[in-house]
Amino acid sequence: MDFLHYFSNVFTPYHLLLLFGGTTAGLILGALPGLSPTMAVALIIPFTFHMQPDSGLILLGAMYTATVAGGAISAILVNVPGAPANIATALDGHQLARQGRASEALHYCFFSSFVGGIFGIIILIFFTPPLADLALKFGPTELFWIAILGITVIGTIGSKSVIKGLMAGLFGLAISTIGDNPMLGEQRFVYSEHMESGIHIVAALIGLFALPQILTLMEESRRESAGAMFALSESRWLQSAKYNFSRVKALTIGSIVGSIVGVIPGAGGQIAGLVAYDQARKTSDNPQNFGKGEPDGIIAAESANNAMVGPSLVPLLTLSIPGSPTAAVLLGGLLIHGLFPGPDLFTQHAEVIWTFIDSLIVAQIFMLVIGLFLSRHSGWIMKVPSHYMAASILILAVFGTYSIQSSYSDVLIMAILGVAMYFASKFGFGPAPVVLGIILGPIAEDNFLQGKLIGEAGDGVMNYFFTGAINITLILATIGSIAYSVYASHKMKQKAALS
Amino acid sequence: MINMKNTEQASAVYALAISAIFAFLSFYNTDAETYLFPRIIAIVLAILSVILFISNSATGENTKRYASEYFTDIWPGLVIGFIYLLTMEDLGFYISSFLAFLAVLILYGRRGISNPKALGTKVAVSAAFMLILFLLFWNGLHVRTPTGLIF
Repeated sequence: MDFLHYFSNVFTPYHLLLLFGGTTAGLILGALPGLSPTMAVALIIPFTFHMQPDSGLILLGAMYTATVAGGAISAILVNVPGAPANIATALDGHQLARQGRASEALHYCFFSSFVGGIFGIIILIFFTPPLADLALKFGPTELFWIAILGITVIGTIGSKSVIKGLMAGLFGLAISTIGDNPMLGEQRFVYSEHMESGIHIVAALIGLFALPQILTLMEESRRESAGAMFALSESRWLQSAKYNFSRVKALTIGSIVGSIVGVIPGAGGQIAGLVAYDQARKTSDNPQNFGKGEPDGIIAAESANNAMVGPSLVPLLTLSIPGSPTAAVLLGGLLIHGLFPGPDLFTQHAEVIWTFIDSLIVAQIFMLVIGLFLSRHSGWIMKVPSHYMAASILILAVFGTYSIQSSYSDVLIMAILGVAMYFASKFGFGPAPVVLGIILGPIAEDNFLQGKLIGEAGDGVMNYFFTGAINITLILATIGSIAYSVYASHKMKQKAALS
Repeated sequence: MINMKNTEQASAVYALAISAIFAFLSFYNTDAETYLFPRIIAIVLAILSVILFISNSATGENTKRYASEYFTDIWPGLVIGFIYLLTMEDLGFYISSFLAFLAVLILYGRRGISNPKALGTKVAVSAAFMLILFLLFWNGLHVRTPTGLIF
């Protein structure tokens, strides 16, 4: 029961302040339409640079949890999901708001998110250590294949086009090779003094996630029209709580579906919310009410997208494979603090990692309390114009990037990558696989070169890389994820053609 | 000839061009040992680019909005960003950031500079934002940004 041992670490005034600040900022950022949780977490990473690892991770964890829940506010009030994870919430949440029950709908969101979130963290607590023990058996070839699997999975399952997703991951890998060769130490692709130290992970994270968002907000501000927002009526939260907790079936479906989807690498909250919503509708006694303001729709979707948060960290903390795009950014946060996923994390850095996991439980309580408070006063968040958000994120991105290592080169690299990503996104390339390529690139290359050396000294390189139960399983999983995505995309196209 | 107005086909052409450049940089006049991993990436990237190119040429799906159209909305922002990056070291981070913040609000806001009250609000918000940043980064995180000519 390691998690109980370190629980008291969370309750220092400093950590509680970080949890409060992270949750409040996360809920507000999540509620702002157009700002994704992934970008919010990426933007906050530079602030954690100057903190102790446990404090930094507590802030990132609180932001992660709160942004997913906060996205429900705009989904309900203006029918624009704050994050992809809240798409399913908008279906019934906004209908309830149209009926003058916006506050009630927001209450359901936060209570359901709380239940789902706690369920997901329990999964994280009990599933992570056994999986981390499995990672003990990993040598260079297994670690190489794990890195390839991580990039493949997030590139295929998390992207609209399988080929473009894989290519985005490869672009990330290519970017990661700028700078020193990990074995020989010789420089590669260095054509300017600004590139001498390679591409810093955080500069890349901020550039790839924040800059496209800034440019998109600028686009939106040109055609911004006052959307329909519904007034927040007076609603008793205790009454909402009683009703919410009586909907056991919807809560159970949401929590279980969210946890399963969370563990699947690359899937993310959007899939969790939509699958749970669909299951809740199918098993409901009143399926005809879904889409017309059915509370069970909100309860299932919101419990699912928050239940996804904890389990999405299971493959991340053990195998370096993120369960969602935001978890991929969190991986960058771990690495900059010198924390490498795997069994060592739970032995050498047990205090840091368990304090972080424990803080996620407390973050759920903060999220519930602050969320309920905000649900009465959230109307002003919706009124922040896009150009104000764009200007604020631009300056924060520049300052955040500069603060990493006081380097103007990092700011330039961040800007170039960001603008390139904006245009790439217009052609259907997503930032998450690129980021994962940059993060996992050095791990893949280092282990590939080590494996090659060992292979050459033994039975041959091919034999070393393509034999062994774990290697074969990982290779099959990589092929499987590509094959499944090709099949799913083909089926979707067929469906679209038929309709 | 490829219809470049079709975003899907254009994406395949651009991807192919980037893959070719990366392959050239990885193979031409470089050490095989040092560039082994980039070379493998370049080969796989080139194969995928060709597959994308062939599949998109075959389907030729049309999209509603072309990439060039987005440029008309964002070019003022890109110009602001470019000038901001160029001047930040000389003018100082805080002054250049204040000007960039204000420029975005003016160029993308509805009333621009025609309404003195609205302009005053934008100046006040920009100044307040910079003050918060100063307290956070300079005092809180002890990040010493270049002060340049002014601040």
